[in-house]
Amino acid sequence: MNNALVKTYFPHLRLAALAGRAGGTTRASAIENAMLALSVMREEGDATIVETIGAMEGILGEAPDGRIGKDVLQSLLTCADQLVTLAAMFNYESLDQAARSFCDLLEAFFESGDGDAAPLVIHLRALHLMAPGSEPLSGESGRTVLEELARLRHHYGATG
Amino acid sequence: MTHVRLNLRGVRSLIVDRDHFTRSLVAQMIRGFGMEGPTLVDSAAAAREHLRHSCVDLCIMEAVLPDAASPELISWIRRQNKPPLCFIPIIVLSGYTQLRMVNAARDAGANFVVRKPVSPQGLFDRIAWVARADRPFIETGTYMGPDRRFLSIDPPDNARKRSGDDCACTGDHDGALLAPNGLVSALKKGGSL
Repeated sequence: MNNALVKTYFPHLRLAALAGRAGGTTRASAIENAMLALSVMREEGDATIVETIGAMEGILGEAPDGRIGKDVLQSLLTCADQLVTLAAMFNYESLDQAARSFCDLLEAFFESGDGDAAPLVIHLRALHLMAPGSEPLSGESGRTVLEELARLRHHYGATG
Repeated sequence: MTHVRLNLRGVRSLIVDRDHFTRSLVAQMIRGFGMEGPTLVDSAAAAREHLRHSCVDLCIMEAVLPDAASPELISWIRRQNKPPLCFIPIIVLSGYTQLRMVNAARDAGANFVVRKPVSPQGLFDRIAWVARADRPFIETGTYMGPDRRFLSIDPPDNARKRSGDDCACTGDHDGALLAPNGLVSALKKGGSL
């Protein structure tokens, strides 16, 4: 193909044609309906959160001598991304922040190519504390835990 | 934006995500928007197979699939020489830590890259934007997809983004997600297309 040739199309999208028909749903109603539809998945979501934390513990437990390589970090990142989605979707605010902290730390390790298991283990303990089904933390305790996680991130150069 | 109405009944959608639960979450959201049951697949290969035999009006895919990165699948779709398949709107859901995928997905021809966790508000606004904005498609020797000269402006009807999305890619406005940074800068300084 000639690199200099540029073609411009104005495609007729079926999505646009359908969406523009009369009737339909307002944004507010659509979002309300979606939230309602999601709420029926909360129980399954809670179970998946706990399973995901368990899976991360399993992955970390296999790391030899507390040092973790990029393949392990990638596996943990995949789980942690999933955890962020679930925590935010079901409005677990502290869990969401702790999971993002975990992701930021993993990302920093990924960038530096050097992973230390200790701060990750601490994050996993925090995630357990904040997971659904655990004894709820008081607001102050939750803040303290998140502050400690922030200190850890700072120590390891994870900017987030 | 609250008065915007979308009639999504009859819209055929395809959701591609390796994780069963995430697929179900996105499917529930779009059912709530009024679309009938989406088709759910877990890999790029399954998506290709579905697209070879069926038409869809919207494709929502995860940034990293088990058998391919999303740019590979997007490029395959865009290079299919059979409209409307090559023009279908594609929304990529990028993981919290997968920002490095954003440019690749954009350059492969994605309409939008949305950072997870995706909210019903965020997803609805992106679908509304795709459905209501007349964005031309560009084909060159190296690119086929929506025009990337995409202004840093609000969606149609002033739909707002989540504030968290604004820093999803470059720390710039969400519009910059799909626009060359130099062009956005030029436009901010008063330039025009």
